[in-house]
Amino acid sequence: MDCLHCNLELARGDFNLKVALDLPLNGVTAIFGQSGSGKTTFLRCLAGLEKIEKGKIQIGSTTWFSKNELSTSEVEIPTYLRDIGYVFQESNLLSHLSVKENIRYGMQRRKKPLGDEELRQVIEVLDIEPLMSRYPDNLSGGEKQRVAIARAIARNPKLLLMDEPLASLDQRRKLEFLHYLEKLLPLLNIPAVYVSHSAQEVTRLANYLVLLENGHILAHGNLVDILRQNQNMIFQQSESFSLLFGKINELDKKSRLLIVDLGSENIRLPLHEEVLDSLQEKQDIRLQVMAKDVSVTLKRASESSILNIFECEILNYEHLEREGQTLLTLKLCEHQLQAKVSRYSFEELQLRSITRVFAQVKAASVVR
Amino acid sequence: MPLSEQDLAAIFLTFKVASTTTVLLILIATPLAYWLARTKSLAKGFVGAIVALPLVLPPTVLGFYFLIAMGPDGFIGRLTSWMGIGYLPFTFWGVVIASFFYSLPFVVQPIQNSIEGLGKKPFEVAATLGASPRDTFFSVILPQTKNGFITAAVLGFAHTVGEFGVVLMVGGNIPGVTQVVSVQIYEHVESMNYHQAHWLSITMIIFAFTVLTTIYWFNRRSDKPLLRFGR
Repeated sequence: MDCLHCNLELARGDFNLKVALDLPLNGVTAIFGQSGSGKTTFLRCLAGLEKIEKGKIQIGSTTWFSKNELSTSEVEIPTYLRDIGYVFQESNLLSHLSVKENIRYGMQRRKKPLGDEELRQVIEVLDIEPLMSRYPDNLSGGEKQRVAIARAIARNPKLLLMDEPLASLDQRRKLEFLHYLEKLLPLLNIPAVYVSHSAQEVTRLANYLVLLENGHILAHGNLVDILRQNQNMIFQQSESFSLLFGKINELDKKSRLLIVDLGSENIRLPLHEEVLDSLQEKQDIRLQVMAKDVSVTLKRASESSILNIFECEILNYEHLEREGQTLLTLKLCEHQLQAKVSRYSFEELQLRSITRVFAQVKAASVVR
Repeated sequence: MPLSEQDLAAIFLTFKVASTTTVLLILIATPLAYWLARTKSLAKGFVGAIVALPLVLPPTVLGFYFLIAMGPDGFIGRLTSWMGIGYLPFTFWGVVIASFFYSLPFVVQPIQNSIEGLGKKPFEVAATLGASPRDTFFSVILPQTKNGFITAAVLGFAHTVGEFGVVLMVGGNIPGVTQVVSVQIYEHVESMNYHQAHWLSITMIIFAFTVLTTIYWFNRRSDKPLLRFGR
């Protein structure tokens, strides 16, 4: 199968980047790491914007970069010949050109840009038709970023590179934007590499995940596997939640119930109007369960309004001193489920010495 | 008639020298300024200093060495004589070449400053959109540094009009060939012809004032000052 082969080394003062991996050339690959982990530098290397000391970058059968001590044949395709699309952290539209001219600028410099019909679709999804004749100085941050994404995609690039495209937006805009991207990326058959330090963006957009720390790869693989193995590292900064990957077992539109197969257990959720039409039976689905929506009991509660009660094993616990709460990690089928209980209940129920509990899941939301 | 025929000839010649010099300056200073703005080479300081030399040297020093270099024993003189052009001192082109170097910093620096002011982002953005460096220069850099180029051209022209020492050393005072306005004023004063000197001087003041007003107007419209010295 075609892949993006990267094997590169570079040094910038104290910082060293050393990356060797093959990335799939379909769907979205997310490069996840804290600031200073080298994820932007890595992306810039792929684009040819950063000088690499040695290594090799090959996309499919095309070599973009090749340099080592032994061989005398060096290859370094300059950025403008790599046929990429690049979305910078700040939008960086060309200030002397209108929105329409910005989009055309990249298209005119590509042999096979996006076709008219696809371009129309991109413009519609990103909602930039009304902005076409405006200049970058008269656009808001979110508008600029939408144009920048359209401009990159309109080139119909071999590889779409995105460097935290949502970083400059506020939380509300971010959600709106994620929505745009979720609609847009599957529409196109363009492989993308997405750099982010946001667990939320990564879990919603990516199929493949690379974890980067201090210029080294901690892990890489399918999103599901990597999330499962590295949940703590990925989610440490945000409100704790768990991701459950399952398959839709049943869509009961009459009693408005969604039943998802998690392995050996089913989770039942109220079917929200918004997702009613977009879901199909047997479809793979990602569910997000906030830790605060999971409580535990020692006995199985009967005659309760709670739909989901699972018997789980306690894998470990962590006291959150500041909040006065305790975060439990439970094993549910093959998944890890996090539950947040008060420190008081933790002591009262003597959870320290107990290994099996009943987890009550009050709510879960469909991520994708 | 406040300005004599000889005065008008001097004005005409001055504009001819300044226009020719400005065209040459823009053509040659642009790649030089681009290189100075973009390079990480250690030679940047050295080349930058050579370009800036006329800012601090007395024009007579510059003129003196040009006179020697263009003469029969100088390297420019040998070159021009080998090419069959003869010697350049006391000719129109001799004045143009000396003026070129004398005004070079006034053209290089505004262009260099405006390109440096763009930062590296426009270059990177254009590259990711498939533009070669040459393409980038004409389609992105030039439109975005337009004010820098206008300032450079106006300053180069005005500074050439205002020179005196270099022209006198290299060109002497030959009516219609090297006798520019500043030299003509000196001549009027030497021969106690104050009335004529006044008229020519006032013409120069009005010209200089108009030019400076234009430059300030352009600088006001751009975000960064384009002319800075002593960095």
